[in-house]
Amino acid sequence: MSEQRCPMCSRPNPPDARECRHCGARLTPLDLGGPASGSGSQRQQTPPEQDWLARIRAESEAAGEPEPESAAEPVAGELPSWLEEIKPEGSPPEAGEEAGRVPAFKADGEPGGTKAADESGPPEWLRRIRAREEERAQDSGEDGQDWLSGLRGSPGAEPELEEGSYSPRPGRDMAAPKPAAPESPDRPPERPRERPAAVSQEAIPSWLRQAGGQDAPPGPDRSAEQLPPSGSPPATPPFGLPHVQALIGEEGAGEAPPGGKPEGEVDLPDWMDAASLEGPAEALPAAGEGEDSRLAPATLPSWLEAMRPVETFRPVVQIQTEDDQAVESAGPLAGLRGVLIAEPLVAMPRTATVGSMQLAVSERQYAQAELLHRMVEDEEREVQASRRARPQLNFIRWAVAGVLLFATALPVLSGSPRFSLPSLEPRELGSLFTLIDTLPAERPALLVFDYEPGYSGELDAVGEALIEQIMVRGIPIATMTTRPTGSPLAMRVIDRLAPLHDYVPGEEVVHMGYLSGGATAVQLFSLRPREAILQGFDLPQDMQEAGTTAWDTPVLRGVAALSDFSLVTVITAGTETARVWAEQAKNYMGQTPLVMVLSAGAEPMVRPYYEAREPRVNGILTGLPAATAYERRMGREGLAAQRWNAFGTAMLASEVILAAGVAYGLVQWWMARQER
Amino acid sequence: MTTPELIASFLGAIITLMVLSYLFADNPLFRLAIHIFIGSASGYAGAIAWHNVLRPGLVDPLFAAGLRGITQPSALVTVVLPWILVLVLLLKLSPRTARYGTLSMALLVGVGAAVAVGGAVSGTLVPQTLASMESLSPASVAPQTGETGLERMINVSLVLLGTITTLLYFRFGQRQSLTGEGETPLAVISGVTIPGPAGLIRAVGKAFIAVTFGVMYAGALSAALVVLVERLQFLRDTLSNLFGALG
Repeated sequence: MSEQRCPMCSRPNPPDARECRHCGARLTPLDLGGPASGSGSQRQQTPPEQDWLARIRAESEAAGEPEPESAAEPVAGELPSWLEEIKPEGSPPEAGEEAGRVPAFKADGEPGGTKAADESGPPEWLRRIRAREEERAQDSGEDGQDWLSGLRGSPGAEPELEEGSYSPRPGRDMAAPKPAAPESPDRPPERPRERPAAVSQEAIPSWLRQAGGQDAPPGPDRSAEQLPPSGSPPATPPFGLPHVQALIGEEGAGEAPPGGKPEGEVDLPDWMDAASLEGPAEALPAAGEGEDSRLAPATLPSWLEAMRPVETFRPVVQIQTEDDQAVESAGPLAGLRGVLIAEPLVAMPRTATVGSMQLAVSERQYAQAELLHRMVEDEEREVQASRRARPQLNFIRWAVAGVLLFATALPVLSGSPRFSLPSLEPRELGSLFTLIDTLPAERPALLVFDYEPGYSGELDAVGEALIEQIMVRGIPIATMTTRPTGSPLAMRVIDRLAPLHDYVPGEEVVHMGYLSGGATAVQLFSLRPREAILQGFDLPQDMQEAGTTAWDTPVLRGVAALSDFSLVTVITAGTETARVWAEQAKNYMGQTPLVMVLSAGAEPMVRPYYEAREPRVNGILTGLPAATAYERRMGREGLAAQRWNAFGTAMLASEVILAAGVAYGLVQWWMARQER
Repeated sequence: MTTPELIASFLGAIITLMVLSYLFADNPLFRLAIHIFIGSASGYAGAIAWHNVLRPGLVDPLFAAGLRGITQPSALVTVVLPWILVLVLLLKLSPRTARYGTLSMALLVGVGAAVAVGGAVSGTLVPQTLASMESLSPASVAPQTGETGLERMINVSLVLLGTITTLLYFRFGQRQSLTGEGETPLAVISGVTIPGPAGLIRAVGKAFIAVTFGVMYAGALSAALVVLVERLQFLRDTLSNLFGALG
């Protein structure tokens, strides 16, 4: 032994240390001088409390009680073979030992060893128990059932049941008859023990007799009867234990061993074989080789084989010899050898079975486990607060912005370069111009400003061309919107154009304001406009003071439905808004045309409504080029014409940038192709 | 230009420059301008909703009818029922009482969905389906543009081809091979794969979609450039007015 580990802290200590140098715990028992592996003199120093059973036995002998015949003399070889095997090899045979006495190997083989243990008597607690049992035995008077008193060796018990009461199970643990062992020289010769047949009947408790008396005849005859005949495997083992056919090879199951054991010899299980109990662990495979042919090979599933713990599992429990076994130092089992020590099992830290399993892990599983581990580590890792990096100026971003700003600002600030107004105009522009030119002037035109303020730069310029033509015709105008921010936009456009054409607010133009409710409100407005919009927006001061609404103005006085308007124009930048008006309002407009003034981005989605066989939209005005052409057709210069030069240079710059980007992409694609 | 208009123009120019500062990066000036815009727009929308919707549609009728008027049968529908629906809709603000506002919400959603679906079927689905079935006769005349003859034939053919190929492009029912390819290519000529008939049709549909998106992108770019021009003109005019007022 190189070192010993502390049962408390599990740290290594020198082999000769008595206390743990780390935690101070005692490494060896208090009452004994370590494991009884020394000579006989060392065992003689063992205190009498060590073997209380021997003292009990000596006490009964001192009382002069006659021993029953059944327990008179142990016959050599009557002990079960497993008990014979456990005995130390050097111990003398205890053939002449009395039944009830402590066997010689338990009494350390010293002459008078048991007597030497009588000095202090049994422990106090055992004496009290024994006295209580004696009183109970005297009261009951049933000697045959008080088999426990026989075990104690009390005077009231007839048979000594130390060995006589032991009824070996035939075929399992009954020892084979052996020649009588030589008597111990320090003991007088005693009568050879008889087979405790009758005594066993008396000594066996009643419950045990009832359980086994029906099918198991007592005595050695029963064992002889129960032994299976040679050459035929027993269908049912003694005591009704099932015969497991699957684990034992059927060929040699019932055959006698090669050694030719006599009939009645104990057929011990393999695990209780002498080699298993006494021999070292290395001898096990050799001992089991002969049995392997009888055992069906165990086959484990691969997954179970992979999960099998190989490091922590000890396949063989090494049973130490009696001398090597430590003596219990505390508790009711104090003084006994071979007691299972609880402290190491409880206090000693053991390797976790789960953690020490060697699993068959594939490469993919290992990679996934690594990934998971890395993710968990990343979660626990604190992200260092990095200083905010200074914004890096993107060259391409700045180049594009610079080119666009320069191209746009140059005509705005200097007035040059100048682009000629478009000579070509969209095909639908002529029909729209004609449509506006033929509107009845007595009915008002409805303008719907359904765009956000961000699009006012485009849609104000596009819409103003059409609105101005309406004003030129003298058609009353009413505005409304389905967006909360639409009313100010309408007011701004009208306020800029109305003075140019002598339009008086409340007389020729009125703002109805905001219509809430989306598509449902548009349909409701198409059916009953007066119920959808109840008031007005930015009405003249006198009208507000009079409490009149927009419907009371001369513009809307004759309007009760959407078809009462001469024109409905929707100015919008979104396709959804245009679709809502085309879907919900057109069905209730009758002959009133629906015109869309659109942002350039919304035109592709609205044009199908215009070019359909039954058009939902009767006119489209889209984008700054169309507005410029419209103004030119009208013979005036409006916002569209004012923005035309800057728009032209900006479009030219954009086209150059796009062409440069396409060329750069093509070059990169060609170079990559060449590399491949 | 009056002084308030001058101040308003100056503030507008400052906010315009703050928005254009996004060229540098996301910066506090840009975010401040955004916050100002969102806040003012929300406040203005709230005021508009009160003046144009809530007060004339909900409050004024209640005061006009009075306690005696709301008991009339006609007022139950025009005054009392709207108030009940509005109040139970306000119960949606609390999770405990939210379920009581389900009736108003169900009414809004149900009516809105019915209106939208009905309008989509009658205003978009049927007319657009009919629009793809125009006659290929050279004698036919487009109702709006007046095109006829060969131009009309080409235009109608393009509409038909675009409609069919685009619909086939969105056909997801074709079973793919183990290699992930839809079908066996017709030929491979100097590294260029010629798809099969179905792949060819889908490629044409894809081209139509790409052209449509390209046109929409060009329109959006055109609109953005016009807005940029308008802002630069606004800055120029503001500076001109400011310098004129100062000096």
